[in-house]
Amino acid sequence: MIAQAMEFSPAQRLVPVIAALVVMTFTLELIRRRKLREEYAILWIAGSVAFLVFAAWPKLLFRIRDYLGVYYLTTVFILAFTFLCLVIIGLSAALSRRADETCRLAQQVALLEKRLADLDSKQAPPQAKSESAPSPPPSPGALPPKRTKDRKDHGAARPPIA
Amino acid sequence: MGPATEQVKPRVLVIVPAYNEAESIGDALDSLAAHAPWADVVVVDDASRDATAAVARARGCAVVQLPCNLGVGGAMQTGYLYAWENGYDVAVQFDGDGQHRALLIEPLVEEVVSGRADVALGSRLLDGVRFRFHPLRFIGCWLLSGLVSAITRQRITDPTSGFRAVSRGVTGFFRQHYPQSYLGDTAEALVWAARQKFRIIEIPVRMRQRTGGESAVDSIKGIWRTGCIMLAVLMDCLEPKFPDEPEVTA
Repeated sequence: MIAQAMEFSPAQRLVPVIAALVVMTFTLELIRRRKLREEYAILWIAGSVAFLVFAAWPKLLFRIRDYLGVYYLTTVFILAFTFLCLVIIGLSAALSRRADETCRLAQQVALLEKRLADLDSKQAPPQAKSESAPSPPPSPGALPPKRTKDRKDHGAARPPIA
Repeated sequence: MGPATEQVKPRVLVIVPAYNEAESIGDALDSLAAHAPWADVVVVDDASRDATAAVARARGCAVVQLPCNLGVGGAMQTGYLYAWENGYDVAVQFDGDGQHRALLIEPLVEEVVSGRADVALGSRLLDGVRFRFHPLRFIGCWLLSGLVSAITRQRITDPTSGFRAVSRGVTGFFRQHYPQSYLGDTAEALVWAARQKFRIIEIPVRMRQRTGGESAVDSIKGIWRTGCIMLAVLMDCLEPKFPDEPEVTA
């Protein structure tokens, strides 16, 4: 394939460089303001560096184009698409991790709430508690058990909270 | 014969994961009180939007209310965490939708208490038990049980059964690692337990058809879900085995 000696106008050279610098500055600014964690930012920084490299030396794209044997625009598209795919996979992984952590947190909150309710019902009689506490969810001990025959020893069998 | 009458009383916890089951959970809890009064019950309310928690509290059950919906897997794991923290010897999964029979908890617990197995699974399809399955669902179950049987290297006829009793060792493992996949938690949990060398045993049980709540069976959805579960189970084989933690067996 003949490497076309494409000539770029000053604007054609300048606009990609400016765009790359904008992306890079934006990423760094987000990190500086602690709005983007470094773990997610690395890919963006790497991406903007690559963007800048290709913007500064567009001949590199011709090399890749000749190597792949495809059009110039296709080369740009392949590079951009690969980068975006990597970003999305990284985000999915981060999201999965967050979901696991949220799950753990929810479980711990639920169990702690249960403990707290048990402690409350043990410490204060239900009548005296009504003034001090605004309106906590009714604790199991505070409600009169309907099936006293079957459930009488149920609460008593519950172990003391360590 | 009941575990409660033995000299060393094993402490048994029945975990009832519930999501919007206010209509049916009352009956399930009543039958637990009637047929398994020797067991403690904890209802894990998976952020229901109806009165599930209130119904359970009115019957004097312990209720753990999750702040957001986690699915059956997340809810069951909460139950195992509760069982572990409160020192229970056996944890039983019992669905609140009325398809499990409280009367059959005892034989399940018996298998675990006697030390014959770490996981006792109530199977709808074991010899002598008939359960009306949709033909498509039957094929799905057959494929899935074949896969699970191959991985666990033992015959598992009903891997999607949510009616099971586990020992304290398994409770300790499940509290740390429990599959979260939607509806696949039952089959996957079996595979995970088997890979940790826990012993699994199946016991024939009869189940009722669901009495209320949302049914999880629909032919197209069923095929899709069975596929998802099988994929999840297959992926499990690629994952590294969880390291044995010394405190789990303690």
